[in-house]
Amino acid sequence: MIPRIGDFRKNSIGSAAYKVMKLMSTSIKTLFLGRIKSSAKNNGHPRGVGLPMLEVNQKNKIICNGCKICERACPSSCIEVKLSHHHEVKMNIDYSRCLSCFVCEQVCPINAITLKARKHYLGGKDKYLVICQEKLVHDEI
Amino acid sequence: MNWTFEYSKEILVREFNRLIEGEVLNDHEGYCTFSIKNKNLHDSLKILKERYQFLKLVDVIAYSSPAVTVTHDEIELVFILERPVDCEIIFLKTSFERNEQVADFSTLWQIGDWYLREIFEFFGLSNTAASNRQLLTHDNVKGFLLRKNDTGEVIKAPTYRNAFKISSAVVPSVNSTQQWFSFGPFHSSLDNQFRILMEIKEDRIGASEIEIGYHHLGLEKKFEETNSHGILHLLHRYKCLSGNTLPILWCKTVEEILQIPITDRIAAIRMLYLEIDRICEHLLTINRMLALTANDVALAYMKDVLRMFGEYMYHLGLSYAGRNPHRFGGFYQDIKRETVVFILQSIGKFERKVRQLENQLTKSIQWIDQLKTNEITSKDAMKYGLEGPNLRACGVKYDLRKNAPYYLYDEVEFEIPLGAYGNAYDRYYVRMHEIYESVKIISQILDNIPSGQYFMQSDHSDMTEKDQLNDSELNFKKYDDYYSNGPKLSTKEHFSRIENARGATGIFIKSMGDLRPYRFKLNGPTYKLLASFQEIIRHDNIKRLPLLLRSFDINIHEVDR
Repeated sequence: MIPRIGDFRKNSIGSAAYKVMKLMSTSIKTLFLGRIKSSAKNNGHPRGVGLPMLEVNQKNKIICNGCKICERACPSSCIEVKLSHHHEVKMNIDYSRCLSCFVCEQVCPINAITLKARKHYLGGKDKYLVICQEKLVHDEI
Repeated sequence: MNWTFEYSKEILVREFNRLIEGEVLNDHEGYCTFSIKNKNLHDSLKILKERYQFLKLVDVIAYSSPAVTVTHDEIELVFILERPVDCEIIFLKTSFERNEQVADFSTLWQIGDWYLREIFEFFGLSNTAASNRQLLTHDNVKGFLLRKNDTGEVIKAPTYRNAFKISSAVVPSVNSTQQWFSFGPFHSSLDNQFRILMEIKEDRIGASEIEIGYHHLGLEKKFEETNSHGILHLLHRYKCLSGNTLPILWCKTVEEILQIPITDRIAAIRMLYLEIDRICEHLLTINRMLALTANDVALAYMKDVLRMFGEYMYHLGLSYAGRNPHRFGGFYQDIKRETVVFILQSIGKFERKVRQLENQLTKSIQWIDQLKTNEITSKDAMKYGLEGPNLRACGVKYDLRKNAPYYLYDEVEFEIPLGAYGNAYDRYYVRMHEIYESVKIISQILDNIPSGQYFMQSDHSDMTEKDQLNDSELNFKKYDDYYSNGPKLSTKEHFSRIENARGATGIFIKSMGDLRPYRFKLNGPTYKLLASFQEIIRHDNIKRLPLLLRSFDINIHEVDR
């Protein structure tokens, strides 16, 4: 199967090329089908799996109503939801403790929180990696 | 040894009662539980091992007794023993006061030494074997962490391990002719972090000692403060054993405690996940061995096989970034019909590719020559407490899937491959042939996958789906209650196990009718392997050590739990 040196001689270049093509057959197939690409897409990203972000409506306001299910269900307890007296929701998430386990997304009854791969990963710049409300909505630092 | 007799449970109870006098015996939940006085511990262990053939020490668990006060402080020990002939399991229970000493059982089993050290470390029970040293945590952690009425403290100043030396005879002096060699903790041939300190005679290994605990996570302590729902998601992310074994095992444990019945379909899909995990682990182990021997031709084939296998993992949603599909009583999603068709169509091609890879290796003289090291006899293997493919390579036919079948393993046809000499080549050979058997099982499951529900609703937890939330306000309350608290665990002491790619792994849980477990313990095969590893590598060539370590398929995450 694997091409040998003898195959690359003048007369048998065709067979060598055929063997090379046969070796690469799965990679060529997958390249066009694009099945494996989705896992390879995040390769350049420092953290391949997603991090929780908040969804917004058309008026650019968060749709979270502060029911606190995600806070209670989170296994590493990294979500903190605060309710002010005007029923405004404020949320902080500690990214350093987040496991990307998808529980908050799974649990949320109105799909207000989703996991996305962030463009700018907040690395060593933020001291405690606790992300406040504004940064949870927009993917900027 | 006499293997012909068969002791039934009743005869064992009657005779054991006569030998060890004045003990209380009871039988509940299918297991025999003997509670004995602590002075009789060593005698009764010896009798059970030598007379009744309970050759395997499955686990030793300690927990502080529930009725604990400041003055009266007791710690209970539970020994789980197994007879390999018929997979009979018994529990042996004793209780100790804080001042008393545990009898030394490391003479009966090689693993006993590490268990004694662990009990001393977390509960403060000293022993007669004088092995009162820390094992898993670092020196700057003081206090007995798993005691209920004791809080540990951490000394901030860095300290170094004083107790780490082989023995007084081997300590290097100026005039000594002995050589020393420290292997690890970080080495290019080690995928795990642990250290072996050994004495070298010419090119052979003499006495040695193993140091572990480089990334101790304190999971057992954490799980005592987490509800069962949180444990499931943490175990899925933790992945100390291959992929989805631990969440499946935890689901199995909780279902057995709460008596949730599962359908054949759930059992079949779980078997599929377990077998896929087994193939994945074996392929990666062989891949690591190939990378070390720099066998380029076989590596090219291996790359091809792994790429194809990656497609299966992606389709089943088992890749690293994937979400947790398991929950108590089934799954979040049913398996897709396209996935079943895709795997069924291409699994024959996958097997052909693995056979191509095997043709490069199995009969090649170079490969046999490299792996012809470290022969272990079957008698020694039982003494060391090896498990899984490492045990089967020594010629011992022991597999939980055959001996004590769970799920649908008794309805599926497959064989257990065995080795002859117990050397590194046999360990490779057994793993390679287990891949074929797993492929056989997968194709049998998918060929006629049973119909039924993919999720069974239990009486204990009033689960509501996301779609039904708008129906009534009560539904939302139930939904909230299920996800924030999880199901309530009834009062029980339970041990359940599963056959993993590395061997039999189990979870022991003691619950007190609370949301959280009172005591949670993981039990893995690598712990037993490393405990007797110094005996295995003795008199072996130092040149072959890296390849030897990889052939055992060590996973340090299940030891440093």
